Amino acid sequence: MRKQWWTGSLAVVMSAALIAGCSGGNGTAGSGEDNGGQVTLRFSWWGGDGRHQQTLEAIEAYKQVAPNVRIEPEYQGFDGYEQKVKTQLASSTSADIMQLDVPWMEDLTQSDFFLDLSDQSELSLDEFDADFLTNFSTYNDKLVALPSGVNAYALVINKTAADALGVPTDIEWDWETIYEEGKKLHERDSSKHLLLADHGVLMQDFNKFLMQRTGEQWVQEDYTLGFTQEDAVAALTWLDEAMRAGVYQPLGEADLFYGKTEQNPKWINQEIAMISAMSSTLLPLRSVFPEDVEVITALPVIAKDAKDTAVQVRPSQLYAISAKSQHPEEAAAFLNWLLHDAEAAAILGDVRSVPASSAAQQAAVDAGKIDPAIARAVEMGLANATGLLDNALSTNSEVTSILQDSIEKVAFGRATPEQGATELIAALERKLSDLQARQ
Amino acid sequence: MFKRTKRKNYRYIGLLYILPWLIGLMIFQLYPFFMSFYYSFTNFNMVAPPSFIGLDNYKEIFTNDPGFTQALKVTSLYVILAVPVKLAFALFIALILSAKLKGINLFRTVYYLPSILGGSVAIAVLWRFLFMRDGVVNNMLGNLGIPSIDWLGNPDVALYTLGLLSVWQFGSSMVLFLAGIQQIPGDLYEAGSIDGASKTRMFFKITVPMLTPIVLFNLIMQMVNAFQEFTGAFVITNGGPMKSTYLYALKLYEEAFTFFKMGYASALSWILFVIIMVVTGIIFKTSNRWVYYEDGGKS
Repeated sequence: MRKQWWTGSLAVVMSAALIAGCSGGNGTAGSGEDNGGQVTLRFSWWGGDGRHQQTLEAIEAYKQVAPNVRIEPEYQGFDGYEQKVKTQLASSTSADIMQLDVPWMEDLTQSDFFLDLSDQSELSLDEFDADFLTNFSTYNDKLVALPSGVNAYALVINKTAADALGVPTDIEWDWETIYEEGKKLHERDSSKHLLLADHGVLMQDFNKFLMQRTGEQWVQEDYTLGFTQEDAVAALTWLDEAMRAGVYQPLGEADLFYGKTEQNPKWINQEIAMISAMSSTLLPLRSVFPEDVEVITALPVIAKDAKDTAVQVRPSQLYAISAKSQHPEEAAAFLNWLLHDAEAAAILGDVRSVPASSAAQQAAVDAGKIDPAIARAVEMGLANATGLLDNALSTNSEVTSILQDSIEKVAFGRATPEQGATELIAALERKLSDLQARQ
Repeated sequence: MFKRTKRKNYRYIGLLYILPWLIGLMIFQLYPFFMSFYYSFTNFNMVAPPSFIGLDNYKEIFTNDPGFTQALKVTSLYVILAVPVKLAFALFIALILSAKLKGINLFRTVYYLPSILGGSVAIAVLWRFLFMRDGVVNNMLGNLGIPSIDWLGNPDVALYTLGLLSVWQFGSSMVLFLAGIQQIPGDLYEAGSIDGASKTRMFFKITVPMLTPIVLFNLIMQMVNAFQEFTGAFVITNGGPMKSTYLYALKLYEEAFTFFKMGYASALSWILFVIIMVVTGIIFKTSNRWVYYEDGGKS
């Protein structure tokens, strides 16, 4: 009988534990205050090893600044981070401070997930470029996030490999020169390619081609297309010819490393000279090379007769504070330190490209922590950007998935550029009217 | 009177023991099951509360979603290819491992290992490195003078390569076949050999018919698993190249976690549920024509 009681009680305890474990936390899970006035904040971000290490070091240093605050790091690669953050926000279990990406903000600001940072006295905003905050951080008249760094699209060039392969590195690239040089290289050695491009990069090249040709965003804010059939055929024809000439690594090979480009063996073995990428990704791209390999940056490909350079500068990432944080003041104070403080800037350096805060930028430069290639990419980007910004529709995942389908068909030779353009326009028009109806 | 109370108490205590499991079932299985049915009639993006839209999700899936047709096509092909090959391979290995040899248990364990590891992300990553253009498999083929094959980058080949990963995880089916083979009475083979039947004839006339109940079980389990296959296609090819490995579970994931259309994804999952139910029903219905039960299927 005693044994029955004992096991029965165990069953009750386990059931109670199960129920308690499954009941949703109210507010950000994990955040809390213990008896000694110790505050715990969760901070989540994505990145590569370099970014993880430096950010963890900064968190360690913050212990000296605010001994009563403990920062719990939650970090991972880019893959799956968006899904995790959105699920956490929907279930009220997000971290107190989150690193976010610009294209997600339109969706995420449909609800009041984030604190209005303009109300936070602990946060200094003067060090940021006002246009940057207006264009990328303000949604529904609320300042919901702050930029971590300044990110510019650039050509990342393995100069050592380019020199060895006979590829010039001192020219301004346009669509003709890049095609000619890529073709020549592949003709000399069929295992070599000028450009590394997964479907994401091909879509980006297609967009840039169109924007330079039309001077407009490819998808307009009024749910119409910013290009004609003829424009799409021209862009897809260039892409088709470049693919056939071996300018790009075949898409089937490159796409196996989508989202983890630096793991592509052809890039690691220096059989590909260039990639069109954002300056914030330069460090992981270079991390796979031996020390003596020189990596430089150049302006992205710009058509000779471009109506717009299509050079874009945007925040590397954004930081937001959860509206459900139990310690918004402490979270704001930490964010302020992370974004502006000289010590933090010296630790973080360029792991999120050039810091967006002018104070942090100066401190990082003084500490010699900004890679010249990254600095040059941002400098060139700022000098050549023409202000044509990505709107929410042009980065909408349902819209871009249609573009991906058409580009893949052409890249794999399963559709002619004409067929690809016709299918693309028809599918986009259907999707845009569907999205408009859902508004 | 005393006895009845005691029996009643035992019943409650029994229920108490399974209470943790029952609570788990309700929270992790039944609740999501019924909620997903409700969500399938809503527009729900996780950010805003769900709004009821009737049958719109189902209408959209059946009339205006080329991705659904493609996913269904790819998944059907995958099931038709991978399941029979896997079962045949499992049976083949089971026959070999049924031999009474010294140390055979070690071989049985070793051959079961891929099934423990097979569904993991690590093995999927390994598969990518094995089968990529400059991977181990092509290097080995090159050494034999065979030209390399674009196993994962060619839209006409990639699905078969993923199918190989599935076939490689033959262990659980193999163990069941092995148990089945060992249950076949030896006197049947004795009678066969006295009658002068060859090994091949005995395999088809004794072994296969006696194993059909296990074939039925394995067929249903593997078919259900194959319809829901996700990890390999997600990690290795992410549905590409050109949607040639765009399995149904990947489509479902994309709608749920890339487009954040939870209502739409719920509708897709219910359609998959019905498809699996119908196919299972058909297999069961036809099983009386090809499954042999020694006792006539009465037990």
